[in-house]
Amino acid sequence: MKSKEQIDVWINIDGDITINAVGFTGKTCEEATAFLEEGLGLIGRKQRTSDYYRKNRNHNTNHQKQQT
Amino acid sequence: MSHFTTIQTQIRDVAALEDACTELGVELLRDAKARGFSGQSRDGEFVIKLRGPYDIAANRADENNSYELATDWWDGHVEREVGQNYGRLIQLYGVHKTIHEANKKRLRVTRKQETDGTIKLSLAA
Repeated sequence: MKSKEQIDVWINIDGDITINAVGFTGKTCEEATAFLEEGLGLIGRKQRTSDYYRKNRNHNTNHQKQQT
Repeated sequence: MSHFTTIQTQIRDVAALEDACTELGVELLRDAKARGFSGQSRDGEFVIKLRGPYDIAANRADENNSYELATDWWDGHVEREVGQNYGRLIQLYGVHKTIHEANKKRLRVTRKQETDGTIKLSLAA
């Protein structure tokens, strides 16, 4: 995982889990969280944000987005 | 933000279940009987022995399945200890399972309690 990449995992009081991959580009976010998703249970919804569709770039653009 | 995934937690990892029980302050027994109402009992591959009069039995339909939980909900004893529908137990299982998986990948984990009872874990390199 690169230094600005992070995976947030929320587990609520019913035991339901939401995973958010932050700071990845393209499909690397799904590869990065696959180990958790497979380990934890039945996958529900996947909602891809605009970062998912952005191709990797050579120069660093500002990937800072608002976190919910 | 790259993508969100929602997951319905399934109990598969006994070590994570054990850690969840430790955090709850209860014992996890193997091949035991779960106490129920009026002296009834139910067999469990695993039994979560609660402080109250009833326990939770965990069994798999077969080895490829996740563990199903069963208990006696009478009079709110079990709900008081593990929440509605085992929520608190499953939450802590999810927390410890995530920590185990993160440790395997040598990721740092930060744990935060949110005001609505949600536990947030952040994994980073």
